Amino acid sequence: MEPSNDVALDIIVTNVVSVFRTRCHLNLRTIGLEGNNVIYKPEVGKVLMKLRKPRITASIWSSGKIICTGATSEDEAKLGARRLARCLQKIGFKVRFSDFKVVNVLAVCSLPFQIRLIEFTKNNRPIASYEPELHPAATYRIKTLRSTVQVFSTGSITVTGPNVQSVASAVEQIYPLLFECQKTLV
Amino acid sequence: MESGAVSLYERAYSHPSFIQVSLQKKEVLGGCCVLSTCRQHNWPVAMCTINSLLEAEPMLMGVVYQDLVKALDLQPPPTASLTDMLESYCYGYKLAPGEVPDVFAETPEQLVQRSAALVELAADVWLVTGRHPLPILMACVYVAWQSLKPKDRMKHSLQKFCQIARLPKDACGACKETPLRRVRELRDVLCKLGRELPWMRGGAVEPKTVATLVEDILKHQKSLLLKAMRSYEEEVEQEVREAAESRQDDVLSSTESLLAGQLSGRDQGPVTPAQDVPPARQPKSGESMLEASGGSNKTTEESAPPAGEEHWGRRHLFLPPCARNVKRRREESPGPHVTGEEEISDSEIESYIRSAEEIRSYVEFQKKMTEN
Repeated sequence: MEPSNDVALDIIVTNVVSVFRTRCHLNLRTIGLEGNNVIYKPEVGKVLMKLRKPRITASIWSSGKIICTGATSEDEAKLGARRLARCLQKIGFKVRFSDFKVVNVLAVCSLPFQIRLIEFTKNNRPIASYEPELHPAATYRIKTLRSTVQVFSTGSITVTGPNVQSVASAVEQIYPLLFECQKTLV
Repeated sequence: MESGAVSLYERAYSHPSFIQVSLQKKEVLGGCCVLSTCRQHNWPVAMCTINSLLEAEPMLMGVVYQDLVKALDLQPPPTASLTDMLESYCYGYKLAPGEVPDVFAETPEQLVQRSAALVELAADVWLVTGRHPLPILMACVYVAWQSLKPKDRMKHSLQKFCQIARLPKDACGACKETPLRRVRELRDVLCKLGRELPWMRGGAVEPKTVATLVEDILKHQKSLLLKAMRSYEEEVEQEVREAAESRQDDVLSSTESLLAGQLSGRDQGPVTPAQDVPPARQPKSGESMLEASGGSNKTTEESAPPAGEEHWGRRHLFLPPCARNVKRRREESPGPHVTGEEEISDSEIESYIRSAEEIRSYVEFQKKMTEN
């Protein structure tokens, strides 16, 4: 049985992690004092700042490096990062929004069948690994796309990759391999 | 194998990843090397077993094992299948004739044979995939032991069975409740299959007494599975049909009440001014009734979700337990289309910055807190 070419899968991006630099030193105490929705963590040397629209959380270091998490698309991540840079400018820092980069995208997808994990791992060794005593999902690493797919027996898969395009390609690549190992009920 | 494990340990010990680690981690590293060597030689050993011998944290063992595979670039050896592990696992139970009273005694071969059949059944009905192997093995061995002499053994709990078999206390890892859960799940499946036995005539099978039927269930396993799934599908279809019919009846009754209301409204029309009810209200009441009936229609429709939207798990009898009660993902309304290059207005940024007064109050509050 071959996989049909007309299968439409919903790949839902749940998290996009991005970084950017402000090209200036940031006084974390000032940000903690003058910013709203901020948590100053002096023990780890960072400030957490949460934006409402888009809903993202930013970790701000005094070196000017900022990591943003929580966006659901690359464009949203950029908008959130720019908003954050504007906030810091308003507080009084000479911020220049630079080196913006999306570093990680996490997506989930639900396949319309269950999967035999042991068979999938055997057929795709050594790329696939499955340790039920450590984690209930089989892990499949695609080096060319720098992506990792975690496959659950229920047919749910989670994909992490450097960008949305690689995540989509990873799903396209793994689908036929999973289709071969689908579990038919007795 | 011993020399293989030793040489692997020597390689790992001198690797930069493991030079400056704690003594505990080094001990666990030894266990991981043994595990890796056993797997490479197809020797069925579970990670839990080595863990219990080392008395280490399972999480730490997992971390060290993955670091070992990565650091030495080992080919990830295949995990031993449950059936391979079962034989050595069964021999760990002290149930041979002579070791325990005859009522409890069972030869390892018989125990292995019955347990293997139960493990196969558990694998077919989604009780094995993605789960720790030892609790499932324990549950299968326990149910198998009970089923070999059900009259004398049905009354003994899992804990009692472990005492009789002289199992070590941490035989199953940290969580003691997992084997109990697996026993419950296995018995639940056996009850569903037992119901399909012709001489049960569709009657209910109790989990506590299902041990008496295990032999028959295992003998006719495949046909009972098919029969159980077929009858379940018929039940679900029947329920869907009944739900659709009741929805149709509700719609019909609400439209009838609406028509009746409209007719009574028209009848009351001329009388209304005498009753001090302004005529303008009539259409409003009619409208409100329309809205009410429309609303009630909506509520009846909403209360019984359409068949297409019900969870797919409802249609399958045997599913991974986690898939049976899946939490529905909250459907957030899709936000406006974003390009990332939009203009950012000052007003929205100001909501993220405290005003001077707020800063003053915050500083004063902090001072008071530190003083106290």
